[in-house]
Amino acid sequence: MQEVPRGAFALAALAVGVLLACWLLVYLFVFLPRGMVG
Amino acid sequence: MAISEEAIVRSELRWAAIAIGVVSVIMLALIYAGLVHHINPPSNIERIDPKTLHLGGEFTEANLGTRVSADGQVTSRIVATQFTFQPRCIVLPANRRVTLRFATPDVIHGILVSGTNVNTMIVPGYVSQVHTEFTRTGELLMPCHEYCGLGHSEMSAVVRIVPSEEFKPDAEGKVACDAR
Amino acid sequence: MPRARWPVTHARNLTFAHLWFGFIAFGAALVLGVWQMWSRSPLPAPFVTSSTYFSSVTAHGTAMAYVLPVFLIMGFGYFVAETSLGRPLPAPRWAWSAFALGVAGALMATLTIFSGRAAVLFTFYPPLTASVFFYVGLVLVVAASWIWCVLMMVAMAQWKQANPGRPVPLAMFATVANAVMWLWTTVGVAAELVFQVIPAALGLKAQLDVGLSRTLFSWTLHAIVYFWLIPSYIAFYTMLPRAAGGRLYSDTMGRLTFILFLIYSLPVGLHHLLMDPEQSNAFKFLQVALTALVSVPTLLTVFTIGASLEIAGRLRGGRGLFGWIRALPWERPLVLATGLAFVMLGFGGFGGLINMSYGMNAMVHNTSWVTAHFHLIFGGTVVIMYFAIAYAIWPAVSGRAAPSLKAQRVQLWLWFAGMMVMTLPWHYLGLLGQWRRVATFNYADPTIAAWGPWVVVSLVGGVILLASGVLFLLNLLQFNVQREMHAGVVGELYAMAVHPPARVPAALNGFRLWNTLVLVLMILAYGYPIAQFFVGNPPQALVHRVDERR
Repeated sequence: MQEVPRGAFALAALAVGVLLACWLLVYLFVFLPRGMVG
Repeated sequence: MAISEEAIVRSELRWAAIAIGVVSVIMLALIYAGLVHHINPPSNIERIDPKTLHLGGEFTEANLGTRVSADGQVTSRIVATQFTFQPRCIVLPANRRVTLRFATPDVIHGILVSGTNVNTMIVPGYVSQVHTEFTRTGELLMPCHEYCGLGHSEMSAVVRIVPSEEFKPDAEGKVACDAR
Repeated sequence: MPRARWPVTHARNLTFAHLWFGFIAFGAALVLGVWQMWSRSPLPAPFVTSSTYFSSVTAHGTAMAYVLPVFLIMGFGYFVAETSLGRPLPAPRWAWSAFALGVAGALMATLTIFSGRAAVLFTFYPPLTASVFFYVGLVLVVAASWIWCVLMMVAMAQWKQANPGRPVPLAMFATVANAVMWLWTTVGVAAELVFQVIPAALGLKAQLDVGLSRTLFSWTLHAIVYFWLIPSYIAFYTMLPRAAGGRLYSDTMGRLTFILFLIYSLPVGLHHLLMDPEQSNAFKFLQVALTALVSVPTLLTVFTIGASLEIAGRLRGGRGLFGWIRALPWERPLVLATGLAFVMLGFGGFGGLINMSYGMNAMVHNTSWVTAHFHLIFGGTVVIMYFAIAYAIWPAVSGRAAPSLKAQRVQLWLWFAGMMVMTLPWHYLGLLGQWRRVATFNYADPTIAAWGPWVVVSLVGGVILLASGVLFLLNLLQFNVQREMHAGVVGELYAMAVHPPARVPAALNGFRLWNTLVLVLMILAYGYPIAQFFVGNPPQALVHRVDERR
């Protein structure tokens, strides 16, 4: 392999990107609507 | 191998920066939720003696359930005990800031109110307190969600959220489920 | 630098014994787990009473969380110590004594549970108090593991003395990192047991401080999951690249990963107490921030292992951005298990991020989401690698050649399928409000009735897992009926790095610096949260025995 592993980078970035997106979706559409607590 | 050690280190550092960036986004969102939306874990740290809480003070039987104080604060006090909640049903108004306070004389319990972010452990020695505002009316399930012994499966209460107009305290400021 | 063939001397029988004991406990616990899922479902299950159910949950948790991992890690550790260092284990009699101690402890705890005198669950939250033999049994298992920790540290120290200036082979470095971390980890539960729970069980104390016991237990409760997962990461870093036909992308990143786990797995336990009233938001938030840091080594691993696999895939002719994935030798069980593990890691990691998210924990705490999460991330991602590790080392350990690789692959696929089918609906049920540790649900209630079908789906997943578990044990037994003998030495098991280091800095070859850092972080993160219980006489709760004869 001549250069850095672009495929692994792309796969990891995709996976972590999906992870973050799912977290934000839950945060915005499930968690916040359930209301203020403290 | 054609790839140099420096190139490997650089690629790992680049990825580490991304990983830390992702984690930072999450931390910032949590800080935002805490400060702006006032969503924080229930961390009351208020000590109470479990062995005597039924004898006097706030958690005597007569004082349990929902009560509106003179200054309009709505507070519901519940005792969790093996294997029931006292009272088993509480009434609270919708769209108004309310406070729930829990204590136990025996072992560890916990509650959640279904469909909401109301969730707390109930630890002998401490008063658990949750402030919230219910936005929807209806009967919400409030089970005991922490193992407290063999009767745990059956331990459950009901939180009835009523529209503000139907929330009528009596002369002592109390509102009970059977009054409906 | 790994040589061609390693002799396996003492480890052969030690590893064989430890892994079999752990896997037998695992098999029994699987059966209990399926029965528990059945009990919770709308389908009537036999033998269900609250006593049998909660005793079963205690046994299942104790076997899966304590017995299986401890015995697997000890057995695998002895194997790694001999094969990666190329020398016989020091003091094998101590290793066998530890085995005997661990077995005695496990049996003591198990018999006590099955006599119905320890229905306190594997988290044994006081003031619920079981028969003292339950706790003593667990203490013996932990004591056995401590002997193992010392043996691992001695083995590494002796090798370093005989090989001055050379980097400790990564597999052993990681094993000892795990041993060091485990010693730190067990302090919490040991203190809770020795100073609070066992005196209560013996009748010497009638009251105890529950805030303190929960806090001490939380010290152990998160770090233990890193103890569980490090063998799987050892397989990712040191065995998988070789099995895939490539090289480890970066040996240094491997060392850093295990060091980061050592440092950050401990000062984070309060994220298990986010809904507790005895700790403040300040310390909860601090430990949430540290938890965010402990996710970093896993994120780093995703890239480093991906890169290692890409090397292998491209060497096999894979082209384009993702073509290397298809080119990988998926017929090899270790490679297949890694792929399946990483898929489950995506889902399980997501669940974990939600759990640790400070106020967001209120959405999921003590719901089925939590149960689903740890079954997926531990039972899925980690345990599937336990199977793969066993398959990989069994030729040398059993002295027989590997039988059908196809049966191994089928078993791994069944485990993956069962785990996904069991846990994905279970996460959803948690969000709907299904709560934990319930023997039977009241399906007459319309809200709960709506959950019924999903609970049945989860049960089906559990049955698939049981089938996979049985197949796993059969696969191991298959080695015994093989006629072809294995030379009893390990072939090319460990991977080489792309750039094998000739030397590494002392910080990446030992743990003195990191132990200091752990101490500092623990004082910072846990100092006040524990010390507060010794100020101003916190109220004590009455001990509540569960072992009265009925």
